[in-house]
Amino acid sequence: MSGKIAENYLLEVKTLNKVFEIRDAALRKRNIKAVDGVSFEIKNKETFAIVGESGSGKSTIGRILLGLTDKTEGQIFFDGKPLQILNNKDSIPLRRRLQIVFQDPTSSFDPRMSILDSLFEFLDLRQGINNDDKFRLAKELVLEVGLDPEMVYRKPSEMSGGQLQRLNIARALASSPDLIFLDEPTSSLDVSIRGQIVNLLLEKQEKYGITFLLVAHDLRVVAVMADRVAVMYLGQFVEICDKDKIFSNPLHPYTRGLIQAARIDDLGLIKKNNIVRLSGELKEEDIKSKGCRLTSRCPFYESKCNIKQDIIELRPSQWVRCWKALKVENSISNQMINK
Amino acid sequence: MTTILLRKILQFLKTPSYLFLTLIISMAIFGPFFLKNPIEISNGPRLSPPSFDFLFGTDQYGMDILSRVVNGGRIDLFTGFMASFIAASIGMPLGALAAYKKGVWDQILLRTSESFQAFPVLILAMGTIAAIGSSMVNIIFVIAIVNVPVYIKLTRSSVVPILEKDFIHAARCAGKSDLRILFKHILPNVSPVVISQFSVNCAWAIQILAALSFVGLGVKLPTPEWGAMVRGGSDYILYGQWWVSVFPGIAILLTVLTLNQVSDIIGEKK
Amino acid sequence: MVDKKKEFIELNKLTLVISSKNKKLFPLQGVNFSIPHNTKVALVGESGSGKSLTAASIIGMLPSNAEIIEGNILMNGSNIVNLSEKDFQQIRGKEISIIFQNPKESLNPIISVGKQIAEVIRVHEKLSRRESINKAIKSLELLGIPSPSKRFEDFPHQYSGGMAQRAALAMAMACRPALLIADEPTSGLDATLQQQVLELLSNQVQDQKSSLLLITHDISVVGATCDQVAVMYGGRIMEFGDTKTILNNPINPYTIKLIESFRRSKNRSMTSIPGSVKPLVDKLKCCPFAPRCYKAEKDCNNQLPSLSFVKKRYVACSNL
Repeated sequence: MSGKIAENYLLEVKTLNKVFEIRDAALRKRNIKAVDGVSFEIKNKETFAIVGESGSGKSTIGRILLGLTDKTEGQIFFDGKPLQILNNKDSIPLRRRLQIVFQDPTSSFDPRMSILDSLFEFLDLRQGINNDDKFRLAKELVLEVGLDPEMVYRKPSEMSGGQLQRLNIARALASSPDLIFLDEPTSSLDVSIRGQIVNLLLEKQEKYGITFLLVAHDLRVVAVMADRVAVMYLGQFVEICDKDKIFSNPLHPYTRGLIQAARIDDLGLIKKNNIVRLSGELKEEDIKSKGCRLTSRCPFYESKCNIKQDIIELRPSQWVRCWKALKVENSISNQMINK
Repeated sequence: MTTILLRKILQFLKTPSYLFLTLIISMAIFGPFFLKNPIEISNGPRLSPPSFDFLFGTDQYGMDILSRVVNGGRIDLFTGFMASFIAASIGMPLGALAAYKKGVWDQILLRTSESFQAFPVLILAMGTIAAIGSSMVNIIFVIAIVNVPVYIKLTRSSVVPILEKDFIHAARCAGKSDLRILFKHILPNVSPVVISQFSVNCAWAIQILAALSFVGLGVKLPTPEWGAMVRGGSDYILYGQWWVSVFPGIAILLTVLTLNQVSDIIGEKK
Repeated sequence: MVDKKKEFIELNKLTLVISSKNKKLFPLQGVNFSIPHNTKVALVGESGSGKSLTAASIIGMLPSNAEIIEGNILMNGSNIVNLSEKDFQQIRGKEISIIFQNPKESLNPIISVGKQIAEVIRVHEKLSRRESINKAIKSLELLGIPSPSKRFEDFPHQYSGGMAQRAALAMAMACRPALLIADEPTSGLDATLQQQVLELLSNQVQDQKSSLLLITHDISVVGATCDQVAVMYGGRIMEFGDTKTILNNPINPYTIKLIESFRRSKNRSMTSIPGSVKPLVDKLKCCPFAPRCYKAEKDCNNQLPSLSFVKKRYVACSNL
């Protein structure tokens, strides 16, 4: 890839905050803290996944990274240096190194431009190449993602969702980036073809040594792609750990509830116990809670949960935002034994 | 190559409204070469009804109405297109700017346009022309200005949803400047709506011109202009000499209807 | 074969054509399928499979440019394909009800939720205003909506997503229909909420001894909820039968691959089906899945397999 990559971490995010000001129906101003004190690091060539439902704030993190929206507070370091992407020429070297794959393939291409023109825009990021080079590279990129190079002359309306998503990947690869933000790259696709995109991404990651920041709510995608996973709820990280731990031994009650409800191991055939079931639904007002934001839904709730919870490394490389996590683990294993 | 072009043209002309519009425009451009504009008060028969010699009859000055209608087309159509074009050129960028900048500037532009639109357009136009004089330039300009708010609001409401689309974010991630994004991504995606509006606007501009002329603030005789011709002939209808007003009136009607129809078709196309 | 008397709804060779300006599409191609009384049936298919149109034809809500050109739909033995809109209005809400993915699609935004439910009750059960209001409040309570008499007055936008879905369900079940059609009721919801909604559906239907037709693209919701499952692809039923039998031992290659895609993969690649769905612009002459099937052989491209009863379920495959 390019020049020097920092010894330890390609990306470091420290206490990132993002507050949105919105007007509700009565035109009153409200502040929503979509991202609240988020911190994490990503090693070079690693895939770091953020899991959460819509409304958790996970997409916002990536957009801040790419300069598509400002952060309210916090620090971001890319390759050891503070990161700030602005809408001007000076940011072009940075834009080359940080790219994005969008969620909805049908709105991520200008409907009036051919695929070729859309790719050219990104190839412009590479300095020192002329139009002939760009032409050749565009066709190579399309071939790389498993499509017929002659497709470059088509318009987005002539292509299927799966094809457009491959082209989204081609476009992200155009500038040979170091890190790609994958914003729910398979959510708009049928489950049976998500694997096509996932396997393609893994192949390119292997080939070019790219680092991924993956945002997803499909745990199947996370299971295959991620090295480390952060679980996000209403703007906060509630658990961060290795991918395997998330599935085999999650500690935070939200993670437990999520994994159990996901039906990705047994397709719902085995009747589940109700110990870790989350009740109710995600409510925006819970964001205002001083303590844990899951209190209205957590089966293990106690009054102590209403105090501010910090995220602590409860086990090596496993960070959890729940004072009761280990106690819960104990009681669950006891219940299982007694069954 | 030429066959493809020819085929495209024939396809285009299959739609009746497009065909009609093309005929009207062709008549306006080429017609005057065949039917010279009568400017002298001739010794020909005055107020004679439609006949083989004078298909649309003659007016009170003995001038052939058919020739006058054909020549008048130039003025009406030119005024319509020019006024709309100027309005669009001013309104579109302002509308896009309002959508992009949001906040205070957006509010200022919106409120100004809305205040403007609160005035009855015709009265505003008449008042202004009465004040500054009715030269062609003034007329075109005034009609343009009263139509600017329409373009501001239309462009703005079309741009707002586009700004949220991922391909705009993509262009930013490709390092493109805001100005470039505006011209390369935003405006081209807004243009179908604007072209549709343009067509309607032309019709409206022609009607304003006709109205101005009808009240005497527009084009002065003997210059042929449909609205002025309708006015000129209005005195004679009571005496049964209907052709002096009716033929230019039909010309206005047909043009306006065709332009409106074309606008609908373009509007539905997306 | 299936005992015809036991089936509430039966689809026989149902074929649909959708005509637009200069194109024709055949989204349903000889669909054979049935829904017994008092049974929960899932119709599973991805985009383009025809599952939503199948549901729409049962309840008479096909788009205006759609036409049934072959086959029939029997409700308790009589064909309902050619019924008028007026006849369908008698059926909807009373015999067959439907809820959608977005509960706000079932609820009128400018009328209070309670009033809408009461109206359905009043029309179909011919009760007085007071009686239908009481029944409506009761149905809200039954569906776990707290303070039902107060919430009766609220409008749909004052309900949260989960609550709105409950209210829509209350309205659909108010007249105890014999069949509830749920069209993707949980898509877009997070897993924990999906679990709740499915359980609610299941319980409601069970309590009222109705049947359920669950339309979904997610085969993993079927296991816990439905007695029977039908898998649909390219406008045809690929496999159909008892849920546990099919999920544990699928035969049709599409079903096999679909189930595999929904399971968590334990290695560094994710199962996927190569290729993509092609629009059905003509009547099928061979199995629609053949171009993408890992088990495809010569016969698969020459004949259109029909459903046969194999290993305790119906399956359509030329290469068994």
